[in-house]
Amino acid sequence: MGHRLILKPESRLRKITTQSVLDEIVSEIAVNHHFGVDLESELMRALAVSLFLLLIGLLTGASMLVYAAYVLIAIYMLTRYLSRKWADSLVALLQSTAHEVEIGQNGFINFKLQNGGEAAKHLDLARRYSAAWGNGGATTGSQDRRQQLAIVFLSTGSAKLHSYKLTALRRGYFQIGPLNC
Amino acid sequence: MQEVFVDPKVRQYLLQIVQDSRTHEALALGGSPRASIALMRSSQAMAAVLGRSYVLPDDVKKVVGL
Repeated sequence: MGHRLILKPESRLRKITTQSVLDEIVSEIAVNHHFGVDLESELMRALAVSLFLLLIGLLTGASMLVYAAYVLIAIYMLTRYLSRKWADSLVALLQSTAHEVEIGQNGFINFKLQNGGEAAKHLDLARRYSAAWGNGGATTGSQDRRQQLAIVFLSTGSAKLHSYKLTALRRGYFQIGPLNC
Repeated sequence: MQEVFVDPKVRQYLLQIVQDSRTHEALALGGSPRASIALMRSSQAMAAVLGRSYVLPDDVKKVVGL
């Protein structure tokens, strides 16, 4: 994009380049990572509706409505706080055996999950890395498709290690995920 | 290539880069509307080359850096 920009003469004298200006602009703009549905605001909206129902129930003396509103509020609060507590106690470590491979060569991904919480956890893991390394999300057989899903049971303090192989089919730069190097 | 999905928030991010280039003190002339379109198309091409059907902010950053 740098070739589309024109520097001021004084900027040229100060040896500023269009690329350095662009780098500065890009570094200053924050990336909004909240794509799709904003669960937090959805939850708050649902909570507000429940409180409104509770108020109507209290004003009109409708005991069932009050009861239902209390149940709804309890569910929302549990969803809001327990799910975060549940997720915070999980530690994930993702490592790759190779950062650069030739076309046709294999790389191995190690994914370690550790349960640091007090309760045992069941997890359904879906490998979302099939598009990485040029596989394009294509699978070669039903066995591969089954291997893309894994159900994990983690007891308190335990850890599970999952390893799988990726083959570089195309030339390019492919992101596997945030790796813990 | 035009079928590669660009989320409105990614579009907003892309436009913000171009808009900031117009107001930057070191630049006499910032990005034009055509530059915005070119940046979006190039980002779509970058996403397609990387095997994705959607554009990430990282694609925009890579194209800006080219």
